[in-house]
Amino acid sequence: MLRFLTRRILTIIPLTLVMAIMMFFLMRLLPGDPASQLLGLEATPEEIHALKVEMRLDQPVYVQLITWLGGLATGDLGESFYHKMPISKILFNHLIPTLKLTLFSLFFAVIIGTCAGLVSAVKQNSLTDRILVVISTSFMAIPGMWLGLLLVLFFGVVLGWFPVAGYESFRDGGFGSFKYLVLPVLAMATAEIGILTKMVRARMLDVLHQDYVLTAKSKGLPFWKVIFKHAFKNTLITVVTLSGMMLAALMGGAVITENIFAIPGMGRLIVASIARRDYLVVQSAIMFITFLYLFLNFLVDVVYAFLDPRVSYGSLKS
Amino acid sequence: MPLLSVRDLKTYFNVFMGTVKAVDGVSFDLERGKTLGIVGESGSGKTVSCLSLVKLIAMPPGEIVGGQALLDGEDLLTLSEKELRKVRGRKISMIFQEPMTALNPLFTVGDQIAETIRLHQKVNKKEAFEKAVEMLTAVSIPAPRNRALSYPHQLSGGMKQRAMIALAMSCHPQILIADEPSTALDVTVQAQILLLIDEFKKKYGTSVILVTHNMGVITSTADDVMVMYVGKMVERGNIYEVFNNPKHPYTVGLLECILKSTGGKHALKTMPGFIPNPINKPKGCAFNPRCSRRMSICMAEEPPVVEFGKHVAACWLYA
Repeated sequence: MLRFLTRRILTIIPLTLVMAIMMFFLMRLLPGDPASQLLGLEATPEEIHALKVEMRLDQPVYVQLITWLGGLATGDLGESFYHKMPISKILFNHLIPTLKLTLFSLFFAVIIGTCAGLVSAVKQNSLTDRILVVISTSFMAIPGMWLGLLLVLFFGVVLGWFPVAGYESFRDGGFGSFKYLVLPVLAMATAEIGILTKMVRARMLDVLHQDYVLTAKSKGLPFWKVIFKHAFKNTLITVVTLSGMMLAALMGGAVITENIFAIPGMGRLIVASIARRDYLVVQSAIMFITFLYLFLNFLVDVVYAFLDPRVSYGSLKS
Repeated sequence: MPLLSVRDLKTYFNVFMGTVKAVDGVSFDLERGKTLGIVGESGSGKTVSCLSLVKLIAMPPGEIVGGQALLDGEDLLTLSEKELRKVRGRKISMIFQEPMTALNPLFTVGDQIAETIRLHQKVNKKEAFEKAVEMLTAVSIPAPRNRALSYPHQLSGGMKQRAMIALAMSCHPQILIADEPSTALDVTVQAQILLLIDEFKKKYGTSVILVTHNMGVITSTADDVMVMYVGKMVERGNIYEVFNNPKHPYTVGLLECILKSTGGKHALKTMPGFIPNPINKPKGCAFNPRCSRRMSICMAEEPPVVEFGKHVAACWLYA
């Protein structure tokens, strides 16, 4: 197990490095540069050049790359051209809204999707099952951004139950601040609920037809114990795998949702910083998401070993 | 009085294509401390007959349409789900064909046996586990305490089947239903498993229903035998009577299919034709399209059950 953990952690390093280099060059391939973006159309070439020197963008590209990578390795992300603030601080400020958004979405998606999938499988071919299948398929098919706009129109504009857009931190708004999260979380969780319902249903149906479920029944176990102890534990792995993948997908999806609902999170930061050609901010933000993604995948692998005794990493016997 | 008396059991499955009469009017008796072998080709309704006794078939699409299954005079088919749970695992327990998949991969073997014990006996967790270890000892699993803490994937196929027997016998049931218990195992292990079942039968006076399509297994372990063909009883009775003096052409055919070491190159005989579509069975005797002694009445009406001393056969030849 320990050997597996070390090996798994070590593979994160080259992946991060490749991603970092790709991000660096992708940003520089964009037309325009931060200096001219910052100074506007009226700026003279001399002024732009002066700012470039100040930003150290006059240095050769490989020097810039090595400086940045060196900074990454030592934890110094540099300073934003636009905000004139350390990037780590900017990231931290924008991280909390995104985390709230994605974690709430994941939480509701897992709870609702798992329950719906279970009910659907246990009551296979019943009316409930058919309705749930139709609903989950439609949920999967609805694009989150379109749903977001519809939700704003209906619950925000027509009914006026929730704010149309915006964000409030917990420190400022207390529990009232959650009202800003309701619509974006709905918009983000819907598709994930659909996927989870379908996957949990399929896996559960598969498990329910396994011999060990028949064995459990033939022992004289009550129905709920057969379902929750013997069958559900075997579907948990599916839920864990999907949750890991979904959290990463939700982080990516947050870019669009945050822009629709004007939430000052990572997504908005990335989009705005791309427009400003704020190279280092975009690179660092993407690196952060990449790292999170790799880390979650790693975590999922570790959880497997706890859920399933057949998964044992490292040792060849058994 | 027999321990279990099944009369005219009918289990149908309502599927999209029509109704599958998986078990269609089967009757048999199981004597105390004896073994009844049920033989037949795949799809003959052997397994469904057994699962129907404790209502373990999927309902829907399955449905027990009629019949009686009297265990000590109590009709199992009329019991509620709650009452049935007290029969399952305590009075009637089961072992299945595939030991590889019959145990839950996420729980230790000991836990799975202890679970049954706690369900039917008033013992605490620790006592139940000790009893599980005792059961594993009784089925001659080496290092039973360690094995009780093992997960199923850490045991070999034969060991798993032993563990399944330990699980099934843990509450000393009156009836053990063994559904092809040795089919998926190595030949050397097969005999050990069958011997083990026999040992328990003698020790606790358990009656055994042994489902198989291996005639050799039946001859060596069963007292009585029932031959089934697409949901119907074809021939039933004392094992020696049936095998030495088979009456139904299907039984005769099955016995001819046994591979003999003296037969030379053409030792393996087969029966012509295939099992019919269960939704659209032939009219009259279901076996008539494959029967070498078919008469016109066989295609028109269902055969009567004729008695021959210690055994019965459903065939027009003797009516």
